[in-house]
Amino acid sequence: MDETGEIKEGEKMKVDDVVNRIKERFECEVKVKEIPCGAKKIKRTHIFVEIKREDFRKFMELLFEIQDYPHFAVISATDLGEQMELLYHFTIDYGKQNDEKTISLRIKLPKNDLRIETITDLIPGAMISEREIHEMVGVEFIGLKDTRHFFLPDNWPEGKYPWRRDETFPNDMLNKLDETWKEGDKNE
Amino acid sequence: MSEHTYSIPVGPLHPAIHEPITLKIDVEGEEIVGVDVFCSQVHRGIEWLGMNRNNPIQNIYLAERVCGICNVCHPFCMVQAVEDASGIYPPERADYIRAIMAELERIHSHLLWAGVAAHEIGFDTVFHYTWALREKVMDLIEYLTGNRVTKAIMMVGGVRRDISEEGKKKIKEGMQYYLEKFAKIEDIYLNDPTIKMRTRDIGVLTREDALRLCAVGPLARASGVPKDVRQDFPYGAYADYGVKAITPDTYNGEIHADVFDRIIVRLLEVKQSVDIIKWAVDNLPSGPILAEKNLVKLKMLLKKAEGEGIGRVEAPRGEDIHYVRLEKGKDPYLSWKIRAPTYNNVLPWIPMLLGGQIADVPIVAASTDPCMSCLNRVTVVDEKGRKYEITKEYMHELSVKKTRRLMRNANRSF
Repeated sequence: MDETGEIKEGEKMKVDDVVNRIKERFECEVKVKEIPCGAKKIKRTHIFVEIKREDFRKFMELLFEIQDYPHFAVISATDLGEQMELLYHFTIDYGKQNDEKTISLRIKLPKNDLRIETITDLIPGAMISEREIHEMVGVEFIGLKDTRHFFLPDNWPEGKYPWRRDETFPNDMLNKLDETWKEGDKNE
Repeated sequence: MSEHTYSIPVGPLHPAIHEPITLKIDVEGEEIVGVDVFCSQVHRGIEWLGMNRNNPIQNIYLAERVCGICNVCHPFCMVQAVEDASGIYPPERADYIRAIMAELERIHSHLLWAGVAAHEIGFDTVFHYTWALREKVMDLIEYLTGNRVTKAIMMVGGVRRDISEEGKKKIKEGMQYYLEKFAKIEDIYLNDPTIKMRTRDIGVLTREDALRLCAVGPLARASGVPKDVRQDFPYGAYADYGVKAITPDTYNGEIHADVFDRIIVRLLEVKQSVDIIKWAVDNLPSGPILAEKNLVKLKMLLKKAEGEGIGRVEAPRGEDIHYVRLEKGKDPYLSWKIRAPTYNNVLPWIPMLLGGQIADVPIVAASTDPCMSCLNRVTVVDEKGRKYEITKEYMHELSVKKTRRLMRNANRSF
């Protein structure tokens, strides 16, 4: 790295290298998004990868080859109607000036079979996120040891998922604030 | 679990962070042998509101209310994600103003934290002194945005308020004030033998654990992981400046990965923020502050947009990440996920507390984040089923007693 903080060519792990390594191993769609910022217009890089559920663990192996400890940020879930889409947000090459890239791993699960392997054996830090997705959208993580509620209360009704956009959404639990009032309540 | 093990719930409201949280701590005598974390007290469903009720502009103000202390970084993060999804990017001047606001927030947050940490170990004079210093940056924030807490400065495609020439002058005066006071603060926190006794080798989080548990922010940096979104991932004006992640070895060449190292990292970051702000004010580019001034038009553009985006910001506590997905023809987001830094910094509490003492719980918990306001109800259940309560005050007293005890013992040995 020179004094201005800019990185010389060759020091960086090229985005293309990462993309090629992914494409070599998997039949998948890889999208790269580069966004310039500030006055110098230095770019940040987002990589989106969509893979099949069967390839998930193999992809994790590749990720560990690319980076010793891939940083796990979070899992986000989107209800697409027939399918539930999980997006695992990882980053690689952290700790290097302007060189970190996000890798967002997209997996679509059919609503009638919402199951996927856990990654907590590889990345213990993913536990909270897996427990959250488990309770919010009802995805079963195979091998996840701790499946207790994390954000929802213990007495949450079974089979109701607040982030779903279908019949499992707890519609009857909305707008119930008025019902907390009881006859003869002194603190009205 | 042996028969001598007691289980102590610390909670139900949080001992140190902005989300209500309960800790179940198993102790044998004074030593902590087991830790479990519970978070289900108050889930406000902010993401659900964004996905079902609000339009993107309303969501900016909702995001601001995710956390009272980090009320710049959440909307900053969210607008980045929306900009990324819709292609409405901010002008250069807005990038710089955003960075200035985020750094002002870091200064106030780190000083707030330092004060709380001092209070937790029984140094209330230091606590009041630090919080008095913090007032300067709060005044500056109020002058620049019109508010001390929820600043309402972010907008999709820019910022809502410009910084005038007079504002620049005031910012520079404020930064000069902190540079002058920094030596004293540094002396108080880093050279005081008692603070060192209470925090050295307490609450250790090894580099390995920090990486495995995906710790972020000053917590990870104090463990020797040079992770800093401002350094690693270009956003705002930071890539132009070239931020360097601060690890404790830059101060004294050592990494102990303990509470003391977290103090070092945060104090040095205050100074780093002062430098970044001074640089950003000097190099503030001219030009507009918004990509689209007309709010109605902006709302229509966002309604027509389709796509997804990720926003990442280094909040005072670490990496903040928002994922937003826009659906054509609909105001609310199709998907919104907020991941605040504490989300990742909760699991590291377990290795940090194991093997420690109850009296260290407040300072270890506080070492990941400042707000101790809710450690009010602590119930101790003994093995025979008799219940009695210890309060935050009692735990605080234990902590103060430990400080006094260490001071007495230290004096004896001189």
